[in-house]
Parts: sequence; C-alpha cells; structure tokens
Amino acid sequence: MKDEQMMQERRPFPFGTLILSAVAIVGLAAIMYRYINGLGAMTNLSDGRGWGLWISFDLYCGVALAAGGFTLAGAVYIFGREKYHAVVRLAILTAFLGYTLVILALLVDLGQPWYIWHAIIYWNPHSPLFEVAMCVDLHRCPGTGVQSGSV
Amino acid sequence: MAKGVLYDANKCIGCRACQVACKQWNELPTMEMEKDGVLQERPEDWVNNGTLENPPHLSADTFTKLRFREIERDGQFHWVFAKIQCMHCEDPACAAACLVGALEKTENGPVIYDDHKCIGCRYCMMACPFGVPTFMWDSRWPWIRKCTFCADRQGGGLEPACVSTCPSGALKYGDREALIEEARERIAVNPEKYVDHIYGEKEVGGTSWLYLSPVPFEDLGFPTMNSEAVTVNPSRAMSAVPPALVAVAALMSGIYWVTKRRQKMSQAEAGDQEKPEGVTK
Repeated sequence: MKDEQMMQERRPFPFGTLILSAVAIVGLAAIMYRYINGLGAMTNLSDGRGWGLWISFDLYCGVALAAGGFTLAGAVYIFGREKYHAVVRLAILTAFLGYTLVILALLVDLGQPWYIWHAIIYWNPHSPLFEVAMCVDLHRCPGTGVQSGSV
Repeated sequence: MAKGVLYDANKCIGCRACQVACKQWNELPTMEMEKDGVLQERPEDWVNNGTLENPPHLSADTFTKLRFREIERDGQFHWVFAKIQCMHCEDPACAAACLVGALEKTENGPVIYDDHKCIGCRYCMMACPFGVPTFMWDSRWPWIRKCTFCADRQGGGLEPACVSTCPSGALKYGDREALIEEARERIAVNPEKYVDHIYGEKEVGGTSWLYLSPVPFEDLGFPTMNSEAVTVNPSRAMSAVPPALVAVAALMSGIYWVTKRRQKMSQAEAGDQEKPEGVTK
C-alpha cells in the first residue's frame, strides 16, 4: 500500500545533481591531469605567481563558510541566543565540511600533498602559516564531535 | 665565523662561467627555450630583455644567473653585470615563513633547505624579498629549489662552485666581516669607480652575499630595502597571538558564565511565579 504510493509518486528529474556531477567529473579530470603533469601545466602558476585561484577558492569558500558556522555556534552557546539552537548542529556540520574542503583543496594545491601531515609534527611557531595549520586542525575537532553525535 | 661572497661588478666580465659551474656542480639541466622548434608557452621563459642575458630568469633548474644591464655613462654605452642568486639573508624571511621549518639559516652562512620536511606550500616564495626560491612546476614530485651557497662544498673546505670558477676575480669568498672591510677599502681607493654603497651589508638586516657596483643598485634592478630585517614585523605580530588567544578565551568564558547565570536566574524567577509540578529542567 505504502510501497505502491511511493512507486507512483513521480520524483522530479534531478537536474541539480546532474549538473553537479558533471562539474565533479570535469574537476576530477583536472585533478588527475595535475597529478600526472605537475602543478605548472594545470594552473599556469609560475615562480613570479606562486599562489593562485586554488588557494583563494580554498580560503574564500572553505574558511569563510566555516567562520559563519562557528560564529553561529558562538552566538548560541556563549551568548545564549537560544532561538538559533535549532540550526546550531547543522551550522557546525557545515563548518566542519568547510574546513574539510580546505584540506581537500590543499591536497590538490600543495606540491607534496602526501606530506601534509608534516604540518602536525614539524612546528615553526614563527610562521603565520603554522598558525593557520593549527586552526585548521583544531577547528575540525568540534565537527568531529558533531559527527560522533556528542555535541 | 659566517662566510660570505663579495661580488664586484667592476671586475665582472659577463662570461657566465659561474652559471655553468653552478649547473655542473648541482647537475642541473639547461633551460629549454623551445621544444621541437616551438618557443615555450610562457613568454617569460624566452624573452631575454633584449640583451645577451641567458637564461631569462632564475628557475628550479637555474640557481644563479648573470643580469645584463645596458647603461649610459658620460655619453658612453656600458655593460654592467650583476650575478643573481639567493642572497642568504642573516634573518631570512623564507625560514621564518616556512610552517614546517624546512628552511634554516646555518651559522656558517648558507640558508639551507630540507626536502624531508617541505610540503610544497610555496610560502617561502611569497615571503622572500628578492623573489629567489623557485618551484619545480613541471614535476610530479616538486620541491623548492634555490642556491645552496654550496653548503656541501663549504662543509668539505671548498669554495662555492661559482667562486672557484670565476676567471676575473669578480667573486671573492671569505669571512663576511673581512669582505665588508675589503669592500670599504676598494671604494676608498677608487671612489670614482664605485657608488658608495655595499649592497647586502645592511639590506634586510644584512645578507651573506655582498655587492659592489659602479652604478646605483636600482639601475641594476636591485630592490631598495631598508636595514630592518623583514622578519621583525611578522614576529612582532606572531608573538601577540598567544596573549590575544588567552584574552579572547577569558573574555568568552566570562560572557558564557554571565549568560548561564542570567538564564538560571530567569528560570528560577519563572519557577517562583508558576510553581510547576515535576518539571525537571
């Protein structure tokens, strides 16, 4: 009875999923090309321009997205804005995904992505980027908490 | 004692033997300006500023190069040369910037690079005031490359490859302090031949490589730097971070405490008025 109803229900054609899949496939192809031919071939970066679109996208999308999530969490948990409590878990999850996006983007943008964990074991506290690495590591902790259901 | 090299543009004859020696010692390939008869895609890889300069810029395969400048002096045409490579700063910005500490200034002078730590983030390239570190853009396993000041040769008691090959004495290797003395002397003996400036003595807090020139260094394409190390301001900002972190954490804890207390009070007030039965919240 219920199954029949569901069978009869016509779900709209998933155009959005289709478009995103196409983008993802093109992106995966670009990533393969980068791993095979090196960063220069894919990004057109040079010694004069060492950083480009990827790191900008990384920061403006990943980190900015996460910042919104953590600000909302701060508003609820620290400033006591209980009326936003309903969305706080979603916000932290989004922030977690934002920072995960940062790391995924770094896996493409770094020259030696397989050594990204060196940022955890080799410390240079004089480096501003060291601080960024610490932030990325630490900001993913609450997200991990949300995923495990404890927050 | 920290070592250095003194480059005297008045003695340089522009033969580029230093470039060749560098390539040979470091086993670096030549830079290909064309492949299969077609010029490289990027103009900066084959445009030579209209001079005999070659290759056009430093790269992962070129740790040093001679810069050629055509300069008019007293109505006459002059070549003036400048050997370009890592300056080996006393307070290197690259080493301060590297988040894994892959770059390091050694006591002996060289700024050395440890490819066992590097993750390829290229922050050192952003940080260097001279734009020296280069990246292996076409490699599947890319590292940062730059002049090593032949730290390996120096460790064995040899001069850097470029210095030992220089036929005109334009490059002189020795203790940095002694070289500065000698540079002062050369200027004092021939004041009409030199500008009164030892580039690298004070620039960005001092560099291991020192330069003498007959023309102002701006004309040779050297950036004008003040004598403060470029690492001073960033380190000031970085050392403010831990106290700021503690202050913000304390402030947020305070606000959290106040908020919770206020919530508890208002709940208690509401409880007094309504007296709900068996509500546990």
